Amino acid sequence: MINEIKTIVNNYLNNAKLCNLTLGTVVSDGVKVSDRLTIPSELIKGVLGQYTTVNDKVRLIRNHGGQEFYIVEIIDRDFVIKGSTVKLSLDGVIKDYKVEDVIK
Amino acid sequence: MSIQFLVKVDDEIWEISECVTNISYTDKLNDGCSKLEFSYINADLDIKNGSVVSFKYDGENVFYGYVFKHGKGKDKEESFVAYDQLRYCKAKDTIVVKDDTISSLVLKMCNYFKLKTGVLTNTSYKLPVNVQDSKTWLDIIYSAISDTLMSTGKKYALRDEFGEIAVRDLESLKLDLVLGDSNLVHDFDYEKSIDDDFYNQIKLASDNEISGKRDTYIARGIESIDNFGLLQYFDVLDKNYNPSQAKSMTDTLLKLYNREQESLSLDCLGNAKVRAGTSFYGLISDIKLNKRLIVKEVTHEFLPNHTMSVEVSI
Repeated sequence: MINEIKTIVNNYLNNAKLCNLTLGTVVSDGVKVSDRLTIPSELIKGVLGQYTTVNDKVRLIRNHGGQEFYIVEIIDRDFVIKGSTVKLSLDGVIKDYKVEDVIK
Repeated sequence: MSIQFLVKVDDEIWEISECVTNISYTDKLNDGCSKLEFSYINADLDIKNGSVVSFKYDGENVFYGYVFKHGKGKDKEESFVAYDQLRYCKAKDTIVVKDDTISSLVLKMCNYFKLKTGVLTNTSYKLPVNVQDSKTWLDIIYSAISDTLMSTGKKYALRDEFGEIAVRDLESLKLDLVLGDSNLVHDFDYEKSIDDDFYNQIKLASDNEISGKRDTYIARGIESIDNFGLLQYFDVLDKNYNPSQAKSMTDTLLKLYNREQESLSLDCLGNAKVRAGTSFYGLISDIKLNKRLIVKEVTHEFLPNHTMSVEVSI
């Protein structure tokens, strides 16, 4: 009896597609998660999607239900944000700049 | 009545119509494969798992499938359970549904499992793009059938027709058959309830990207609330719908749930044409029933006399 209940709960949880975190690689028509599964770009949400290029590794959150995927970060890619410092070179002279604001 | 019962064991076909002592056939609408249970008095033929079974009754093709279970007691009688090809579609897989229809998904499935196909009704409705991750093929197709129903109002059945997988529009499965208290039915069981799956107010919550918060949408059936009291359905949508989509979903759900649930099962003389998904005309004066009914589930008992019990949706 206990085993049957465990099986039922397991099957249910697997079928319910709870929220989870997955890793994927950006390809031309979506994000490849495994050899069998490439999530089509229609289902990829979040602003970060615009800043990815093919072969970027991304971390995704799958929503409860499994029909939407949000890019939470692009792995190993730093972003220019307010308050960070960037090094810029002009005619061989390198200077540090502090970012006051980011305009899209 | 005539029975033709064939089995194929190790590439040899045997007729065992005379040795079969019990035959029962169960079929459910869009809920797994159909099942044939039979017992047989062993006369030097060992039917094994995987053996092919073919059963015709009065010339009507009833069942073609494969033995999945067998067992026996002390006497010579052995019992068997056979399933049709859809049994193989209980396997799980991961697929992306894109530019697909019900029929194209079924074709993919049959190609993958190398199953024989028959009439695959072309369902022109294109399914929304979605990911089906480690789900059974049957569940994938059933959810495609329910998506199609929601959007087009047309209901399809996935079934195995004597060894051929088919997709049929229920409209095309109407039988010229009347079942009623004066006609073939010897018992029935009828219930009308607002206890389960009955709601007259639908409340849906959906995240709204423009307002940046969760909005709720309500549809109510005023007259029904007066009659039965307020019975509310509430759900949080798991996808971002725009306000007009969410509103129309509440209306659809209200239509679906705001009616008294009626259930009816009939015990009657058998008719081998009756399978899940077919419909017949029901005529029972006691409960003022006078309309076409769709078979949800049917169990036929063929021996000694052919009877069936039918569960219908009203």
